[in-house]
Amino acid sequence: MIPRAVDMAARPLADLPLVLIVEDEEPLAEMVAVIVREAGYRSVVARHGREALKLARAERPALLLTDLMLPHLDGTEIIAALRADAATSGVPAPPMVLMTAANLGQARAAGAEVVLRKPFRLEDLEALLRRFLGPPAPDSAAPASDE
Amino acid sequence: MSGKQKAGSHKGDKHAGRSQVIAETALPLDPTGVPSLDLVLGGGLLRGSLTILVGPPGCGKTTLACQLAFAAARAGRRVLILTAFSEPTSKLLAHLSVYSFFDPDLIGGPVRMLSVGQFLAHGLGAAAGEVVALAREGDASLVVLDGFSGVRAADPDPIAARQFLFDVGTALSLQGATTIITTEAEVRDPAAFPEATTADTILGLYFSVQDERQRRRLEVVKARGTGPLSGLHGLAISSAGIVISPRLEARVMRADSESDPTSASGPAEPRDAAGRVTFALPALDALLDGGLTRATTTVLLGSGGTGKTLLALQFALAGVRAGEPVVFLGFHEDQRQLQLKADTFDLGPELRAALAPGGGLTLLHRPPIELEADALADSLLASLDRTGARRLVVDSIAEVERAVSEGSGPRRVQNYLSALVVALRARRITAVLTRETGPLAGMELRLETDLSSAVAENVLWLQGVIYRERFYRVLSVLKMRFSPHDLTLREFTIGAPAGIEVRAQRESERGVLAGIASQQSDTWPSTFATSTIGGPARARRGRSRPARAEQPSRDGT
Repeated sequence: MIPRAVDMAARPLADLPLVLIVEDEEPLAEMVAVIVREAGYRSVVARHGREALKLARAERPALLLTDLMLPHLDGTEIIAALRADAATSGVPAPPMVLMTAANLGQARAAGAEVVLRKPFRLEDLEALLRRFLGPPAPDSAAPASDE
Repeated sequence: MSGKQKAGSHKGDKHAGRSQVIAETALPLDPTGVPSLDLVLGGGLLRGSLTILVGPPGCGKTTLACQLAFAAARAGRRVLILTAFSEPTSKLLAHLSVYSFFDPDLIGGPVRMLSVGQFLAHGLGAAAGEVVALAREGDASLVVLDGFSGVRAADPDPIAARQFLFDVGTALSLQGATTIITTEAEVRDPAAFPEATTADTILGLYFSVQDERQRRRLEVVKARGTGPLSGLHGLAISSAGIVISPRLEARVMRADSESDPTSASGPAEPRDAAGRVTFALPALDALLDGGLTRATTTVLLGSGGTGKTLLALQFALAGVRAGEPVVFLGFHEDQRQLQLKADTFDLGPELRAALAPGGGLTLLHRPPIELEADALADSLLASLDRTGARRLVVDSIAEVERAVSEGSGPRRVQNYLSALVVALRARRITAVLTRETGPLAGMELRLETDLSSAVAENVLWLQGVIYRERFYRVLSVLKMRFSPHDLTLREFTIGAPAGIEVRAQRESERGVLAGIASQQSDTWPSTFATSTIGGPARARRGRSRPARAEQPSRDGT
């Protein structure tokens, strides 16, 4: 399990890093959101690509976890759009993790920082959260979902 | 779209010449890529049609639907696989990855897998719109909706489910996309299956456990615009995915109706001896008026140990020697055991050479365990076609009969065997089938109760007979349609290294053949000891006369 950092306890809710989860499988999206929240971060879920872009532009997440195959816009298109946004605005895109069950070649070419093969171990996801978001909040500070 | 396009105007139409009318005249049939499924469907799936795969859990619906999807993607089409509440796409991908049709490189490109469960919360009408939009965005020409039961459960009103399918099917059809739905229901349960009316094609999949064996079957319940094969076809799930084995009778009837009656299934070959198919055993071939008539089926009937397999092997090797490709379908003896048998005799080196690549003899060994009759026929016919075989040996046909009987019941056996004989005749194949009779008490042989003998054109009978405290092997021709033949008994021997030697009558000990015939004559027509039949002068029937049995009779032609 990931270590619980005591110094996060005093942080205001809005300061907690926001993770945008893009996943069309409802149970899987829910499970990832629970892991993110239990790790001490905020989460928001989009269930298709268009919704994901809208949320990413509005909410400025600290990390994007996206599926590869999605309704309307797929993971590679989301990543490309956010990279293009960053190039235009000069504001760096959030780190992006592509979650996929197949076609690792296409996933690697999509331009994500990390490709997470489905099914994945919870420890791997927790390690990625720590890597990109820093120490998590203690259990007591775990906020509810922003959905 | 690859359909024919036609432009034209109607005479007398006041708008004639002003508007161009473009109409599809024929929807193209897309090959399914599933072995033998196109044959069963009557060519493939109509482009733009709605197909429903219906059956219980475990019958292979999802595998079949995904196999169709991957085949289409391999053919250059873009496909969309939508799951509702059946299973997550990651799990589905894991399940599919065990099949050889699965190609991970196609995922996310030509094959896209999405979950549409999220759209069902807004009602089936809205969900239908989303499905159509997804297909259009992805430029999909094939859409699979896996787990329609989940869609149906989203709205208890059966009309809503039917409307959903109608909306999706119609809209996708207009886009030129074919739709495949999988749904859990009994194949012929209309109450649980209201959406059936919207489908162009319904494939029913059956899954049962019988005699501790799992059995799967496929039926084309409905197929608009194509001519499917009727009845239940074999369905197996292998490492290649779904494999369909068309019902033999249906495929033979279809082939027979499509063939030119004056060619393949026309009259038998000319009766001249040059056209005969020989055993390369002169005394036996002489009994057959020169050999078996080409494109006929012969049963070698006899109890265990009488030499049926060896005689069948002799027939096979005689074919190889004559430059005729041969297929040997064996059940009890594998290649090593068959070789051991041949090695006892002079046939050993010849068999080894014949079984070598390009040697002319193809051995199909199928252990006689839980055989599926239609799969067996499918692989046999494929092997015959692939090798261009002119001769076939089946050792023994009893195992084929057992497979039919266990799978479909004894009432099917005669139809199956008749279809097999027709299929072989259409291919101009001369076949020899061995068949055990079991021990016979006296002459209780009744050909009409032995189905293989009833459907075959010719029957040779091999007997082991005790006469004057000695064991003799004798053979005789019980039946030979389309040809005169000698009905007298012939003694034959099996010895190393010569193998089978059939003796001319004069070579047998004086009185032996007549004595054996006489010994059996209480219930046996004497013609088998004395006469030749088939020509204008039919042999008279009556009690045998030992004296005449010693005199070859060749008046048949």
